[in-house]
This record gives sequence, C-alpha cells and structure tokens, in this order.
Amino acid sequence: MSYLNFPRFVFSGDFQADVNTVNNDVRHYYNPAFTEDNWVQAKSGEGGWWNPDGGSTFRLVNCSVKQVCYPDGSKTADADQDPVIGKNVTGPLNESSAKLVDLDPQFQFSSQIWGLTLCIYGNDFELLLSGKVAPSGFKDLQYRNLPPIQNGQPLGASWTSVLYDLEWGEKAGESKILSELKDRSADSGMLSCQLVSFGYYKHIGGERFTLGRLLGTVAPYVDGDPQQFAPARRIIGLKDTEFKFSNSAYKEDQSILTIDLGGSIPLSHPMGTPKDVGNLYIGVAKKPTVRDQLKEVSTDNDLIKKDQIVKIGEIDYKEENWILKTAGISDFVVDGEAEKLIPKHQIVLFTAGDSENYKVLACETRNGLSIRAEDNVKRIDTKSSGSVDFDFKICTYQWGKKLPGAKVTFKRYSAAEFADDPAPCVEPKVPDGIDPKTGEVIQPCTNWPLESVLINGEKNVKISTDENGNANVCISVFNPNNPRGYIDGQIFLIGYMLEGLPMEQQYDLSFMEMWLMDGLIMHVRNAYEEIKEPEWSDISEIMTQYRNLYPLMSRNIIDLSDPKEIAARKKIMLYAFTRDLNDPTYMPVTRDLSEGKRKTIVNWLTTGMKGADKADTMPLAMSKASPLTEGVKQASHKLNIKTKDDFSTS
Amino acid sequence: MIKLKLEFLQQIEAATEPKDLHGLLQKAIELEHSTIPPYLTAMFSLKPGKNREIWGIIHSVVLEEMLHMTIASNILIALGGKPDFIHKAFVPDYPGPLPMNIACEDPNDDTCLTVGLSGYSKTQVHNVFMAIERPESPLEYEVKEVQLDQMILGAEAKVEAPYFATIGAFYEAIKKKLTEMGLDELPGADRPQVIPSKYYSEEDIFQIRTLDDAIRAIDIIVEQGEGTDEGTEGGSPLDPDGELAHYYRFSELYYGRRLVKDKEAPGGYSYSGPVFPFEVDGLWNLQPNTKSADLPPNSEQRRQADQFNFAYKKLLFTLHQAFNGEPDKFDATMGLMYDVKLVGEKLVSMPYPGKVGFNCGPPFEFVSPNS
Repeated sequence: MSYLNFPRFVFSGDFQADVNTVNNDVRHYYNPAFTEDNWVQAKSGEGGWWNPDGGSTFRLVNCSVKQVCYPDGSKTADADQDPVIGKNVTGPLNESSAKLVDLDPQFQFSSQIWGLTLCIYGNDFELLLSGKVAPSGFKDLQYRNLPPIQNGQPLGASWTSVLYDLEWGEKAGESKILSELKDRSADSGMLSCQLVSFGYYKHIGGERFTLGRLLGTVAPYVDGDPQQFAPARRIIGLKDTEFKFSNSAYKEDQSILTIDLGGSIPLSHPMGTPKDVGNLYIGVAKKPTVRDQLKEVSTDNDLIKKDQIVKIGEIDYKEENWILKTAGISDFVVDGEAEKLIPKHQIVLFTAGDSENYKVLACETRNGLSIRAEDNVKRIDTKSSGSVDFDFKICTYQWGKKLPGAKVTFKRYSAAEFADDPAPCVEPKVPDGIDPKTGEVIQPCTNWPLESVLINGEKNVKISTDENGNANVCISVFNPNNPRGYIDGQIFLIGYMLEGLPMEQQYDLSFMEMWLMDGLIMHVRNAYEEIKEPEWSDISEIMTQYRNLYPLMSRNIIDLSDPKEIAARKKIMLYAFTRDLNDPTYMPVTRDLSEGKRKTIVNWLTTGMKGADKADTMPLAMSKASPLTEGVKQASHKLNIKTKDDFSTS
Repeated sequence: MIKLKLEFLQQIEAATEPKDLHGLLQKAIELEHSTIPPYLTAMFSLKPGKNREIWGIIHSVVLEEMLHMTIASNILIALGGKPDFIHKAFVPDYPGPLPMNIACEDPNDDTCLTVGLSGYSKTQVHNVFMAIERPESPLEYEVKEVQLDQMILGAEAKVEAPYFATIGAFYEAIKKKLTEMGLDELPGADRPQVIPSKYYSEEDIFQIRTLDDAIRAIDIIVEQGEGTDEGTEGGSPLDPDGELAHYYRFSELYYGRRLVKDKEAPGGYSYSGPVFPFEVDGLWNLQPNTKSADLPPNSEQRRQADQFNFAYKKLLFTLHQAFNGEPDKFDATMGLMYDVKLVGEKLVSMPYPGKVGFNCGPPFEFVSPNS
C-alpha cells in the first residue's frame, strides 16, 4: 500500500536540482585530453553541457503542506482544521543541502538523492517532524509536457522511499495528521514517502533554470512492505507519451480505490497545468482482460464498448492547481458491481469516446501482474580474487496482492545491447585514448567482461517466487579489471522479466527504452588495495579527474590537482573524505570512489602527504594557479592549519 | 567608532547577579555578529581570483569576529545563559546602527556610525570598517607614498562627548562587574560550550570555567580589535599574538600599504610596507543594501537572493543549536558557510534588475520559518 494508504499528507512546491553536467560525458573522464573548454556552458553534447558549474545540490524550495487525508478517508486543506497545513517542508536547517547524483556517466537513468532529510518546523523554529529519506534511484521516467518549449526537459521521474530516524517534536501533537502518523509509525519506526518531479527547467538563461516542480506524499510504512517501490496495481498508458505509469491501490476493508496521476497526467505547461483530455474517468473492466498495448496505436484501437466498463468516478483534474493541491492523487468509494469486479479485473482510465464507446487512455497490466525490484542501484567494490556476493530481491504481485509461484527470468545485458552505437561494442576492448580517425576520445563499452557477473552462479537464471511473492537471487561480482580504461570499474545491468506479461509491459534496460527502465543497475569498481603510505603520484590521477569534472569546486573552493592547496586545507579535506555515505557533505559527491581509493586518499592526508612538495603541475592536466592560495595563506597565519612549510614535519 | 548607548553601561553597573548580565552578553554576541555581514559583502564583491590580498585581510578579520562571537557566547553560557541566534532582532537592518549603538539622527553626521552592506571600496573601508574597529585612541602612523586613488581626505573630528560608551568600556565594565560579584567558578561552568579547536589556537579559545577564564577571554576580544597598551609611545598596534589589531589591518587597506616596523618613524611603525595591489576590474559593483523584496518576484535574482537568506538562516540556526547544548553541531557550520559563500558568489555575479551597471548584493536578511 505504502504512500497510497491513509492517513497521508501531501506537500508540493518547487525543487532545485543544480546538477553538474561536465560529468555527463564519459569522455571528460580522460585526463590527458581534458581542457577548460569542457568548463564552458553550452548545449548538451558540447563543452561542459548546460550546467558545468552545478554543485549537484538537491533542495526543496517553497514547498508546503497542502492537504491531509485522515484514516477514514476524509480530507482537508484548511489550516484551521490542522495546523500542519501551510507549513513549509524543507531540508534540515542544520545541514548542508542534499545531493542528486547519477550512478555513472554511462548510466544516468537511476539518479539518487543522497543526504535528504524532510523537515517541518513550527513558527518558532521548533521541529515538528523530521525524517531521513533513504536513497532510492528514480523510477517511472515518463513524458509530461511535450513539446518542452518552456523548460527543455519533457520527462518527469519519481522517487519512492521511506523516512527513517524519525523525530517528532512536542508540538506535533497539535496536528491531528502528525499524531496519526506518529502512532502508526510506532512499530516500524518509518514512514512511506513518494516524491514526484516534473517540469524541470534546463534552458540556459531561463528564469527557472535548474528548478522544477515537486509533489510529495507521506503515509505510514508497514513492516514487510517494499521500500523503494509502491506495491501498487500498475496502470499502463496505451501511448508512450501520456499516462505511461500510474500507481493504484484498492483498499478492500474500506472499499476505496486510490489512483495516483501526479507522475503521469500529461501537462500543457511544465508548471503543472494538466492537458485537457476531456472528462477523465476511472473504472473497472467487466472482462478479466482489456486489450492493452504499449506501442503507439491508431485512434480506432483504443475504443471499448461502454458496456464493458463499470465507471467508478470522475477525476477532477481541471480544478485550479489540482496537481499541487492533491499531488494528483484521487480516492473513490467503490460499490455495486464495481466492488465485485475490482479485486480481479483491470482498472481502466478512460474518457468519453463516442456514443457507444469509451476511449481508453490507460489500463492495468495484463492479468493484473506486476513485478519490481528492491534496492536495485548498487555500488560494489570488488576483490582482487574471488567474488563479492549479495542478494537481489524482486517482488511479484497480481491484482495488488503478493504472487507466489511466479516465474521470473534474470538476464545479463551485453555490451552491444546497451550502447549508443552497438557496433564498436560487439567485441569490446579497453579504450586506449583518442581515435586517430575522429580525434575524439574513445567511449568505453559497458557490460563487459560478462564473466564479472553471475546470477546464482550462472549466466542467466529462471526461478519461482516464494509464498510472499518474493524471489532472491545471489549476485556474484568479480573484479572487472579496468575494462573502461580511464574511468573506474564498469556498469553491469541485469534485467528481470515476469512470465505472463507481454513484452511491451516488461522492463527493459536496452539503450533508449528509457521509459521501461528497471533492473539491477550496478557500478562495479575495479579491485583496489588500499595503500597505507601513499605518495601523491598514487592519487594524483584520481584527484585531477575530480578537479576536471567539478569546476565550481575547482574555481571556488579547492583545486584538487594541486597538492599544495590540498595540504593547506588538510583538515577540511579529511573531514569531507571521512563522512558517512548518507551525510550530505560526503565527498566525493558522486559517491563513485571505491573504499580502497578513498582510504588511500585519507592515508595520504594523514601520513605526511608525501610527494606534495616535489609535485610539479600535472604535465597533462590543464591546471591553473588557484585563486584561493593567497587568501588561504592570509587566513592561515591565525589558524591551526598547516601550510606547505609545516607538513614536512608532521 | 562604535558608540554604545550609555544605558547598557548602566545596566551592567546595576547588575547584582550573573543572570542580570545575560541580556548584555546576548547583545555583545549580536554586536560581534553584526560586523560580519558588511565585511562579507565586501569580500563577495571581490571577483574570484582577483584582489586576493585584500580578500585575505578582510577574511582574517572575519575569522576573528567569529571568534569574538564564540567567546561572548561561551561567556554567556558560563554565566548560566542561553545564546539566541534565531530571533528576528539578531540580524540588524542594514543600513542602520549596530546593536547597542546610538542611532544616527543625521545621516551626514560623520561622527555617528551607520553601517550598510556595500561592495569593497576605500570609502567603505574608511567610513565603515575602520569606524567599526576604531579604538578610543587610534595610533597614527606615517604614510609613505600614499595610494592616491579614492582616498578620502578630511578632518577626523575628535569626539569628546560623554554620551556614549566605547566597546572597550563595555567589556571593561563586564569584567569589573564579574570581579565584583566575587565569583570564582562560574554558575554555568559545566554546560557545554563551543570550542572550535580545529580552527583557532588554544590561547584564543578555551573552556570558560572561572572568573580568570572569562577575563582572559574578554581581553582577547578587546586586544584583537584594538591592540594593546604595551609598547612605546602610547601602545602597540599588535594584539598579544603579534598580529595587527583589526583597525590597523583596515588602515593598511585604506592607505594601500602594509604597516611595518619602522625604527625611524614616530611610534615605531609606518605604512611603508608592500603595496596592496588593487585590480580595478576585479570588483563587482554591488547595489548597496540589496533587499530580497526589492527584486522582482519569480526572477532568477530573487530566487538566488532568497536562497542566500535561506542558507544564512541555516547557518544561524545551526550556531543556535551548537551554543544551546549541542556543540557537536558546530562542525556542520563549515559546510553551511561554504553554502553561503557559493550562493553569495553566484548572486553577486547577477545584474541588479533595472539598474544598469549594478549587481545584486547579498541581503543578509533574517527569515522566519513558514514565511
């Protein structure tokens, strides 16, 4: 049930995702060819792309609680009825902002928010509620506003997660919804949370550059429920471009059907005005299956005779600011014939067609089947010999209930299956710099060598789910041995498919089928033994790479290719490189550094920073004199920070 | 110079127990803090990579003002009080008088200090920074080969009026009153204080447990600001650590040369050291006293200004927590200060809407939650 449950509260507003785009192009990771042309703001694919100075921060801007739903289904948006309404939802006032991070430049479809905590404060800064948001890769990427003239990004995405380490303030008791949620979180210690984003502005120079719209829903979390996806009945759009993925849930004890269109309803404007699709209805099909196709269909093929569907209700999406006020979630009481049908018949989203037919916009998956993975975005450090093993769990459902005995196949994707241009990756090899014919840096191939990954000890596997509808496979990961040359480790993708679903409703990680993306997505790092007393030369390549990729840091904070600068800021560097992974100030922000390498950097800082005084400017890196050095020297005369003259004695 | 209303001195005088001094120490915290936004605004106006020596001098003063604010907070804690960083009046309205200061009736009155947020200029250094830091009897030294650009010439009116208290007198009165109270171990000695030993030396920041500790701590504030009485011919421009007191660091910026030992000059020092390079193209021309509400709603500038105020609010909130029983929260302020810096540097690079040739200044406005 998760976030679709009662009680819940809805908040909305803007978010800012100041993503860095220098690291969007894998070829920028090749130090010898890097120039500061790659720091220049330009359109996608050129220079540093559209936001080279991005700091990767993710934050809520002007978000506030809009609506609450109580356990009996009653709702209010009146602050007099519940004082939490109208209160801002922000990050914590005592922490740096969270970070939005891609797994890797060669897999950017599972971005996670790290270090986000949601907080609600009272008017005197007293905390009412806070909860840490567990990092979860975004999902259900789908088109929202086409063409994206105003904002540039037509896709929206959702993060499903839990809030943990909950803190409730004394005054939380003054809010009925917070009291209800507090009671219901007593057992699990957690709440469910759904964040939906759309309308992201990436046009350079635009007023809302790096801003987008955010919808949030918070509800109880029940132990045993999945955390990174909603165990929902999945409603799939007939077209790829509208209503592609919607979550729905039927609460049998209350006979309430909930449908979430916040992430799927097409928009006429990126700020959240729904497109006019006429009167929008939800109902249930009389026959067990309605024809369902996910490819573009001609207008004829989405019509269904009216007597085939029992209408349950109409969605009031045309109300002013509907999507921001409700997060696009509607609830309906189901009775009569619909109540008998709904436990085992497809839920249908439709509009008035003609005198005899309804026009179907979206309907539930075939036979109500669905499958999803938990914890599917992984960063794995490998060993120089032997494997690192972990369990990968998927869950299957039918009509919203757990499905035991479901047959699931897992397969490893190959290099050619996931490549912009398959031809060079049919027989992949380590890229050795620049292609003499084009003068361009050679792009690495992903998903090889395949021997680096086994599923239950084999290449591909088919299993059945247990009595809880779950299946665990053991993933074994071996040292890939630097197949990408100039960028650490490798991307490996494992797909899963549920028998009984047509191909168009299965998830697929093939390149460019982005709206179907789901699977196990791994950044597998090269095996790297920590060096206890490293020299600068042991870490200079890594540090220079970071210096190249993050100009905001390099120009305004610290040039990581200059060991003297690092030495002058040793304490801050040590602090930043020894945070917990979930700390918003963890370095590196991208979390792409293996533990062996991170520890080596820390060791360099704590064992005398050997080689820093001898270090010349990296001959191949385009470093330049740091603007901070003088200022740092001025400040350091008063502070307990060692300068170059000191570290040789430490 | 800073001129405090006499009533504060009178309140100190009338105090009979430590808690009577709480309000005054809270005001001292606010005063030390209030100097920081004007200094930071000047720093923001210096473009990245340009005018780094000037930036470094101002930064070195800011670091010490933060230390003074920390010391004042710790003294308040040691006296059983609770520093409050998150009430609206914590942040003064700029332009205006600093906390506890006499307000200026006549904006053209040179003897009265009105502090605003402006980009770096010698006018700002002279009229505001040096005025903030001016000791009762500043030591005048020879200036050799003065930098001519934008110097303000004018008579320094010697102020005789007894109608204000200097900051030195304020702190002196606190010391005297604490001594009078006959305390040895202070009532709040066991309560957690903030000791940022990663960033300051042991001599400068330490747990304040006894009267002696408090007196030693107050002396640091005064001497770093004004210098000491030691040395020949009326005193020394150096503080006990051998660093120039703030007033003289700013004088260096004003005269454009380092103040160095000079045996032949009266007082033993002169402004004859290395020249401060000033890159004229290395300055953003900031709209003074930029307020967020003056920027058009939904503009990028307004959003950036709001984000700045939000980052600043987070910093104040975290300081509040650190000084109210959670000193481990202090480390988080480092990251938050960088946030303020990064957001501020972006903001000052943005043109001020409707005013050709001006950029947005950092607003440093207090914003309450849920506004």
